[in-house]
Amino acid sequence: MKSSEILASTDRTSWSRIWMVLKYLWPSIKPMVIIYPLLSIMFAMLMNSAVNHHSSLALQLMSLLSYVVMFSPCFFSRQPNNEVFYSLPALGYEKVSAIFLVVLVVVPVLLLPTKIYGLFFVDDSRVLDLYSQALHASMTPRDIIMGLAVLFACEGAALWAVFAAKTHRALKACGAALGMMLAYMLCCFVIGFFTAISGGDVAEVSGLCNRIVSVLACVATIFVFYKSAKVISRKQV
Amino acid sequence: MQIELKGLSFSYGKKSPALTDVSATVNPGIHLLLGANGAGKTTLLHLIAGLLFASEGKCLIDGGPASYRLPSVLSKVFYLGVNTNWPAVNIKELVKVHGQFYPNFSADVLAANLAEFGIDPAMKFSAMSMGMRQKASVAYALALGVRILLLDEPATGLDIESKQALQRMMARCVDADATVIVSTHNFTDLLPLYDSLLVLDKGKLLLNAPVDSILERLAFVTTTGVAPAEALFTIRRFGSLHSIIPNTGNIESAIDYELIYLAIKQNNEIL
Repeated sequence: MKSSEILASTDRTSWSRIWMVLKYLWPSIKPMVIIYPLLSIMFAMLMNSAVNHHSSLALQLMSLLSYVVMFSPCFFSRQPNNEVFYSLPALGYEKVSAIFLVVLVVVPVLLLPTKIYGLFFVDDSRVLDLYSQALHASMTPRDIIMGLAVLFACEGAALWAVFAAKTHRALKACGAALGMMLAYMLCCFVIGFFTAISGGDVAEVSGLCNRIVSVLACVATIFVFYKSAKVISRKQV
Repeated sequence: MQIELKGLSFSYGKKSPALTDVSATVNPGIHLLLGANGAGKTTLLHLIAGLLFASEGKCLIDGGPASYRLPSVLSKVFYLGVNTNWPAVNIKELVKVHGQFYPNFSADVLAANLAEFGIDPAMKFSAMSMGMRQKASVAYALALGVRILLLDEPATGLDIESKQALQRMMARCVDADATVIVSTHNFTDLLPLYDSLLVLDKGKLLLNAPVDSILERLAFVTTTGVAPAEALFTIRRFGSLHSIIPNTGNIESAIDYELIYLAIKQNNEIL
């Protein structure tokens, strides 16, 4: 019996099949693997030149990378429909694992060059200062979790949309990511507003606001990834 | 490999049932699935392929439910629709990323099929015409070596020579224990290959019978003047009368799919 026959006859979760699903996804994510590191390096270079005149612009460029992560699920919309994907002889968990591996591990790793470039190859103390400022500003564990939760909530929303939609998948994915971002901003505004009018000192209000938004962002992240997993594994065409 | 449909029902939304209580056993062979637009043909194929889940009843593939989408079941089934969107730029890449999931996939069969159609495996799908893409898709699907192949309008866009090549290819690639369901409106494309006929109408399965058993009970005759007195169903086509009569005296005739389809739609007790 060939190994492929053994694999096809077993219904238990298999790493080989997850690898096979990743290979199946390769033509869709190939442009991302090429474009993202280049984009990341380009951002680092732009940041390097911007830091001399507009340090705030340089920081904005750093945040642009987050948008690249947010919209990364759009690459899965390269096929107009996923009929062949859903009929692949692999377990739903295996398909979900392969896709989550791409969006949660591969994409962030591909965008690392900006950080590496900035930290090791830019001989400019101001850039390093910017990095340390940015790092300092988000040094508390809660802030790191909130930042990641918001980012992944937006990415997860895009992922959910790209697999749930039947038409205009890329457009809907972008809309979902931006919608989630808007919801986050609205949430911050509403909580901040009501906490402010209720009185209390600024530090206390901002701390409370952060705590509530962190929890909401984490819940939203779990929710969108759960919905994405469901739609990837059990969607009907 | 056998397909068992047990009281299968499916609806798109609450008010539009696509299939109602379909029960049948589909044995190995090449089956022609006929039905009007919207009769539920593609829905039925999607249910068998596990791409849709029945609202009632179940579809069993070799005893296992198709809706569970288990690798052991899905590796034996493949559904080829019209204008399938492949995850690769060309057949060569498709074999690497998709063919690996099918243990009986044969590169030699694929090479022979593509050669018969005159398609270069390195040619990009985007550079192919609709007909060429369909040929490449059918050639690939037949090389997967699956036990159940569901073909939705496989000869769409194919020229006359390619349709003949497709007939030869199917005769060569489909094993005796494989089950192929061909859903088409152009039944003449693969005319000599069908072993049985399935007729769907408004979501109901009106007929599931082997061609041999139809010909044992019915005969198809053509007359120019008046229809035979014992005719069960008659239509006028190009000045002649085409009739279905009971086959009481071992009359040898060729099955007329159009005639039997129209007759069954009018009276499904004809058999």
